[in-house]
Amino acid sequence: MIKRFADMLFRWYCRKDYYLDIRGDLEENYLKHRNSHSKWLSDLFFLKEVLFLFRPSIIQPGLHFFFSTNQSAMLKSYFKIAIRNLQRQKAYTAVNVLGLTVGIVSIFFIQNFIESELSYDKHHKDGDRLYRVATYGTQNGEDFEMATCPPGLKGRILSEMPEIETSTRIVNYLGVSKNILRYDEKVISETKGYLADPNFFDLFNYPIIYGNRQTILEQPQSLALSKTLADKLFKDLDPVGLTVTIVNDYGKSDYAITGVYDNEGINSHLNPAFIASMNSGEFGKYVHGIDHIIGNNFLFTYVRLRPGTDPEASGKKIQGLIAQHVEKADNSHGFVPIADIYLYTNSQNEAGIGGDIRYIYILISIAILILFIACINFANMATAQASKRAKEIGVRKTFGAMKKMIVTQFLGESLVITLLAVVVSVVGISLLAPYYTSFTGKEIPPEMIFEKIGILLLIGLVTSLLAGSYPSFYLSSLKLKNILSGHSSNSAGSYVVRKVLVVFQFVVGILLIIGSMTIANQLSFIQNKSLGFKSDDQLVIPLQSEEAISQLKKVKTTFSDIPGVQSVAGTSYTPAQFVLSDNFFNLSPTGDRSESVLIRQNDVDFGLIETLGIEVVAGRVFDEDMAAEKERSLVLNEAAVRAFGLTNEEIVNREIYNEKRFGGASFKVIGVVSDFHSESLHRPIEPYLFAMRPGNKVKSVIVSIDGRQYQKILSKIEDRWDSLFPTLPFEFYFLDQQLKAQYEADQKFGQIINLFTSVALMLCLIGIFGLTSFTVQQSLKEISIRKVLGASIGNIYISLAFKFLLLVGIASIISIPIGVMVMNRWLELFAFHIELGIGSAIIPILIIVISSLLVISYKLFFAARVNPTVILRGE
Amino acid sequence: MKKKFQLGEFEEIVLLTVAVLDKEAYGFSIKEEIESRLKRSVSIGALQSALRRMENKGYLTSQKGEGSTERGGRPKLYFRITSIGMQALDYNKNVRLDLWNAIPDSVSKSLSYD
Repeated sequence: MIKRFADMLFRWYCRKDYYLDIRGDLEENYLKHRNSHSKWLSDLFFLKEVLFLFRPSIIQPGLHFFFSTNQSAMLKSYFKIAIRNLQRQKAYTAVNVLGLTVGIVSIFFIQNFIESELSYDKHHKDGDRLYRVATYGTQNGEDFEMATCPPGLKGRILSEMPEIETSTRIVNYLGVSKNILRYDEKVISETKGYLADPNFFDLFNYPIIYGNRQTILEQPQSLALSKTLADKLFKDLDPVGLTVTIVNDYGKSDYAITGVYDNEGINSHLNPAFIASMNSGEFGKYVHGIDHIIGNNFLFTYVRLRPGTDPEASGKKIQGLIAQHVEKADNSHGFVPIADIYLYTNSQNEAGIGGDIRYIYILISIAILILFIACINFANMATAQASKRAKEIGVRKTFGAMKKMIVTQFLGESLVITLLAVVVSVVGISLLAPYYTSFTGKEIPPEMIFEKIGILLLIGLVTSLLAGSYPSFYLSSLKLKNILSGHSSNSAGSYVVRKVLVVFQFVVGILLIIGSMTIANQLSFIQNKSLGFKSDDQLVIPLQSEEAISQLKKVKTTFSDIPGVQSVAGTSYTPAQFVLSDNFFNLSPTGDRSESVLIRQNDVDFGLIETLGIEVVAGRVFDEDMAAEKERSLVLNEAAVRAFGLTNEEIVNREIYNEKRFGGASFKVIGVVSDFHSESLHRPIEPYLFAMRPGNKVKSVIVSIDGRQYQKILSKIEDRWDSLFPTLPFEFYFLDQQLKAQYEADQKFGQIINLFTSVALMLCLIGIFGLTSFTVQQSLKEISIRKVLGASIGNIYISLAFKFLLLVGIASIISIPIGVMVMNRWLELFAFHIELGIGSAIIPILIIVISSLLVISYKLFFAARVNPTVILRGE
Repeated sequence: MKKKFQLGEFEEIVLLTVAVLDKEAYGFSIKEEIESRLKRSVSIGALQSALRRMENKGYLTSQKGEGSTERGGRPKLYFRITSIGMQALDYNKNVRLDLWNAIPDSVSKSLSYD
C-alpha cells in the first residue's frame, strides 16, 4: 500500500523519459530488501528512495517552476525559517503534527465509515421508486412497525392499485440462523439466504454474471448465488447447472444453480448470499399455499411504483383495499423507501441488523469535534510561541516587512506542519487500515487512500488556514514598538478568544467522557443483568432435519447418559431467537379482540423450563407423568398474567381460549414462571407462553452441562451425534455467546466511541498543555517578581490553578446538561437501562480537573525553578 | 585550469564505477557495486541525479536495454563512459597525483600510517 502510494507519487513528479528505467531500479532494489525484510519495512525503504529521488535533475520540467525559480528567494527564507523553527522546537512540532495527524486519520476513517453506511441500497436502478410494504399496528398497548407483511397482499395490491408497476416477495427461512451449503467436499455455512419470487432481479438489479435475468429464478429448486459465495464454492468456474445441497432447520434439499449475481461493493439491507426460487421446497409450497391479506406477517414485499406516484397516499390506499375484503383488519400498511431501510427503520422482523442514523450523526459530530480541537490546539500552541517569535517579527517589520508578508509567513508555517501531518497520516492510515477492516468489516482498498489524498490535502489546507489564521493575524498585528521595547503585548481581546477556545475544549472533553462512561456502564449492565434464566454452560444443538427432530427422545436419552450432562430438553426457540409464533388469547370463549392478549408462544419439550432454570412462581410445569394432559396445558410468564389483569394464583388452573376467529380452542394454565428476558434488553418483556401443542416440533435441544469439563463433554456429544445421524454435520453453539451477539452492534458502537473519545481527550489535554504553556510563559515575569518578593511556589500555583478551575466551572455548566440529555436519549434505545446518577456529572469534571492540574503542575514546576535573574535581567 | 573537468567526489566514484562495470552499468548494478566496494549506502536519488548530470555534461552516454522479470519488465538504461568522461577521470587522477607528489617527505614520514 505504501509502495503503491510511493509509486504514484514518483510517477507524478518524475520526468516521463526517466520514469521507466528508474522505476525498474526501484523495483530491483525493493526485491533485494524484500529478501531480508518484512513487507512493510521494504515498503518504507521504497518510499524513502522515492523521497530521495525528488531532486531538480529528476523532477519534471513543469514542476521546476514551483521548486526552483528565483522569485522564491523570500519564500526560501520563510521556508528556511519555518524549518528551523520546527527543528528548534522538536516537542512543539511533534505535538502539533501528532495532533493534526490524529485528527486527519480519525476523520478519514469516520468519513469512510459514514460513506459506506450511507451507500446502502443506493445502487438500485430506479431506486427512488422502490419501496417496501411495512405493517403498522398496536400490540399490547404499544405501537409497532413490522418489516414484513401478509403473503397475499402482493397479488391484491398489484391487481387493484395501477400505480404499482411491479412487486416481488422475499422471505428468509424463518428462524433459521444457519444454512449449510454443500457441493462435493465443500461445506459452507451462510446466514443470509432468501427465497424470492422469480422477478426478484427485475427490482433488485444486481449485475448478472452467469444466467439469464428474466428466467433465473423461474424453475422450482433453482438457485442464484452471489459472486462472493460462488467464488468460495467454485473458484472461477461457471457453476450454472451444478447442484448444491442446502441443509437448514426446514430440512435438506437439492438446488440447481441457474445464475450468479455480482454483489461486490454493493451494500443492501438484504445483502443476500444466495437466493432460491420461491417455487422451491416445503417452505415455498407453504408460501404459495396461503394467500392471507391479514395476519401471517412473515414475508418482505417490495414494490416499484410508477413514476410520479405519491408513495404516502398510495400506501394509505392499501388499508381501504383490505377493508373491502376482510371484515376487520387490525394493522395498517405503508411504503418505506428502500434507501431508508438500512439507516432509518427499526422494525420488527428486519432482515438483518441495520445501521442507525443516530450513530452516524454522533460520529459526524465527533469527527468535527476532533478536527476542531486539533485546530484550536494548533492555534493555541502557535500563539503560545508568540513571545519567542516576537523579536523575529519585530526585526522583519523593521526591515520593511508588511503585515501581509508576515501573515503569509505564518500561514506558510502552518501549511508546512499540515503537509507533514498529511504525509504521516497517509502512512498511519495504511498501517491502521487492516485493523479498521477487521473491526468494521468495511474494506479500504489501497487505491482509495490515493484517491482520497486530494480530500486529505483539502482537509489539511482548510485546517492550516483555520488553525494558522488566528496566530498569524495575531502575531502580525503586534505593535513594533511594544515588541522591541520588551513590553508584553497582549490585548484583552486575544485573552478572551483563547479562553473561549479552552472552555470549548473542556466542554468537548466533559461531553465525551460522559458519553463513553454511560455507554460503558450500560454495556456492562447488559452483560451482568440477570436474565431470569441460566445462560452459562448451555449448549444449543440445532436438530437441522426432520430425521433428527423425529428422534428427539432418542437424542435426549443418548445425551443424558454422558457424565457431566445435567439435563437435555428440546425447544422451538432458544432465548436470543425472535419468537415468530404468536396468538391472541382470551379469558372467555366469546371475547373479542379488545379483550385479547397477544402472547408469543414457544413449543417446548418436557424439562425445558427446568433446564433453563426459569423460576416457577405459581402452579407447576409440564410433567412427564401427566403426559396425557400436556397438549392442552400452558405455562405463562408473569407479563402475560399481568396483561390478563389477574394475579398469579388466580390464573393457575383457569382455562384460556384462542380468540374465536382463530378457532377458540381452550387451554389450561398449569403454571406461571417469573419474567425472563427471552429477547434482547433493547425490548421489554412481552407476554410469553410455553406450550406442548401437538404437531409443533422443536427445532433444537438445549444441553445443560458441567462447564468445567465442557471439552470432554462436547467431544462425546459430537461422537454420539455422528453415530446417530451420520449424514448430518454436528452443529452447536453456546447460549451465552448467542446472547452476546445481540449486542454486537452496541459493543462495536461503544468501542468506536471509546476510541475516538480517547483520541479527542488526548487532543484536549494537548490543548490544555498548550494553553498552560502560554499562560505560564506570559506570567514568567510575574512569577519571578513574586519570587523575589518572597512568594512561595504554592501561592503562585493556587493563583494560576484558580484561573483554570474557573474555566472548567464554566465548561461544566454548559456541558453537563447537554451530555445528560443526549445520553438519556441513547439509553432510551434500551428497554432496560441504567439511570444517570450524580456520578456521571462529577467524574468527568474530576477527570478534567485532575488532568489539567497535572499539566499545570508540570509546567509550573519548571517555570518556578528558573532563577528570577534570568528572566528579569532584560528589564 | 580546466574547470570543465571538475568532478564531485560522488560523481567521480559513480563515473569510475560505470567504467569498472563496462557494459553492465545500469542504475541498480552501479548502486550495488558502489555499496559493496565502498561499504556505504547509496540512495537511488543521489545516484540517478549524478548519472543524469554527468550525462548532460557529456561524460556518459546511455542506451535502452532489455527488460527483466525482477524489474517488472521495465527496460534497463545502460550507461557507458565517453572519452570526455575518461578525460575527466584522468584529469582528476592527475590532479590528485600531483598533489600527492607535492607532499614533502618530512610530512609523509612523520605522519606515517598503515
